[in-house]
Amino acid sequence: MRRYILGALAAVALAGGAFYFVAPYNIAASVPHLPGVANVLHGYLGNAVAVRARSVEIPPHVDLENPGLIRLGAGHFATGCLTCHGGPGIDRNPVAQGMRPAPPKLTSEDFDAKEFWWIARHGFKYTGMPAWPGKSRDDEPWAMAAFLARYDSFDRAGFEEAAFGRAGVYEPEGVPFGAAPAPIPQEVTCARCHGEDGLGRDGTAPKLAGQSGAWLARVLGAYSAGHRESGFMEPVAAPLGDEAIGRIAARYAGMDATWRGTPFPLGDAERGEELATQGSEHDDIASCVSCHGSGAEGPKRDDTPKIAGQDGYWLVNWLHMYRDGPVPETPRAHLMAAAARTLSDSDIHDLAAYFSRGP
Amino acid sequence: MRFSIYLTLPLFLAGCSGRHNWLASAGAEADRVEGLFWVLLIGAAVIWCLVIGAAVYAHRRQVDPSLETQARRFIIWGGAVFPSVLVGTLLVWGLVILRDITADEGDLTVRVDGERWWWRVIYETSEGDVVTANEIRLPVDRTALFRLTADDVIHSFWVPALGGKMDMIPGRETRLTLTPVKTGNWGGLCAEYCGGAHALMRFDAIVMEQADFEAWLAHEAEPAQVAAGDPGYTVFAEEGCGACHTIRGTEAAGPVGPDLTHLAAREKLGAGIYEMTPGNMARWITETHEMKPDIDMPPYPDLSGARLDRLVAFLMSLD
Repeated sequence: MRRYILGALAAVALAGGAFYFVAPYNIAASVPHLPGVANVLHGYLGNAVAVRARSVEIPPHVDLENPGLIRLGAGHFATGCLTCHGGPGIDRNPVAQGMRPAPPKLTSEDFDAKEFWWIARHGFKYTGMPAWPGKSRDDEPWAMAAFLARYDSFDRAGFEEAAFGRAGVYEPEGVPFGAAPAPIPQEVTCARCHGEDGLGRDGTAPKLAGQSGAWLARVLGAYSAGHRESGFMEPVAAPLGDEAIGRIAARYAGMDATWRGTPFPLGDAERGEELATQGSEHDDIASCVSCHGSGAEGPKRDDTPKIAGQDGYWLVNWLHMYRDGPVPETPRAHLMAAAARTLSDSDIHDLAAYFSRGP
Repeated sequence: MRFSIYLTLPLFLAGCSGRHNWLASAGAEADRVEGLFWVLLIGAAVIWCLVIGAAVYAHRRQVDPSLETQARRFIIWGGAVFPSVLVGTLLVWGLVILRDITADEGDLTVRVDGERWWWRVIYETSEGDVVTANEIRLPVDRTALFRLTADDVIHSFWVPALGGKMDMIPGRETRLTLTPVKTGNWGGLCAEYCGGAHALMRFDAIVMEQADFEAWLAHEAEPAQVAAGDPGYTVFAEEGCGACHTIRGTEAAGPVGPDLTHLAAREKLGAGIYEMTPGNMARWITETHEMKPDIDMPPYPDLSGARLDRLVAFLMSLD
């Protein structure tokens, strides 16, 4: 009996070894899956997403109907997704169509917003679909969820307008890989989310106009070097050298710094003002304005950002980032982490409500 | 040879000497507790001898059935009634002491708020509150009433040589009186584990003559004398120190950390753990978490050279 078992095990090991070394199963992307395999894999993928998206919660400050958030999603779609998936009225790159599975043309019908968030955040093994580039930034993929949930309502002109601020930027029908053959000018790349005027296209991206050049250069350099996580900023900042970073920072620093306030729907601005200007003894909350300045006077140091008038959505995301991580690996980021450590969610909303009111 | 072991006993008692010695008789409250302690210690020794003696006696004696009634009575009186009365008496005595040392009256009132891991100290005066930190000065032969609170976790306020201890409980106010009878610098500490730097949560309790104390408190109530454009204060402001720290007389009004108005007048730095020297101050700012692990204050390692020197000189001028 024992001899039979040993014999069977040896046969299995031999067969397995032979399979491993002779490799009879053809993994060529050029050859279709065996009948039914593609359906099973795709069905499993759908189930895996549905199961995991069930425990995803939309944060209270995320409004999926917010046009700014949808534009931001469109902008990042142009950076990271368009090449493989194509866009509204824009074909996929032929190279990507040679993948198996080929990246599908997308439609809002495929998934719901939470599922889109999960997919953008985590990606898929074995398919070429990458995880979110800012690997701990749970907040950022909500822009993708907002955009993809509205994807079917965009035509090409509407998409280009949302993603680039103007239609007709993308000439080629098949989207290029990387920058070739028709690179989008850097100015357009920054401006498509931050606006030609640096004011963030009505809440699409943070306001930069008139921000200190030293601060902008430090942050852009941190994105470029991977010291500050962001799925939006790291891909566009990665190729930048010091010269380009300095030039871009100086350009935005020189823009008109008049920030109009945008109301933030959550939080109590009065309490936020009290916290921001006086701090709280009981809750160990430091006053924000000691470093960041109040509306009239700016920050005390030029490597400290101005925040009065910034959009509440970003203030909330950043405070969450400094409180819960990923804390940027920049020289003074630990000071902000120390300041954010004791903030509750409602403190954060109150502060965002106060500072987003503007100077 | 046999007695030589007793000669080593003073070595163990040496651990009780010094400024944390609760047998120092430096405070009326500590004296009351000490009185109870000696009664307990000596009484326990006497009772132990009696009980052991009775046991040995009972073991050696022949059993005598005619004495059984007497023996049962002895067990009831000696084994039940006497201990109950004694323990009851001690309880009442202890409660009376507890009542007295938590009385809601004193010649002066000091509020102490336990923080992780330092002490916010507020003297109540007729002209308003005087806020300081990490050092408590008291007039000799006066009763100070301490109102004790805690912000975050439970701490315990203890100046062994003067009296206490008393827990500081978030959401409640506890009381303790201290009536020092000897001048000197007595050590205080947190006596309830409260997290990482608990063992470094200390303070000086300095007992002064009445007149000296009043002069000190009057000075402590004054704002700091900071010249406009003071180069060190400029660094202080630019670094955002005022977000957490208050220096009365300047714009710095942060409520989170210790009040620094008269920082350099304190004998110690970092809640009673380092001498107040420029060198320690510089290290405290740049290597904060090496000096005291886990504390909320972030380190400023990028401060160096002339900027750090100016900041340290400014802080050391806050006397």
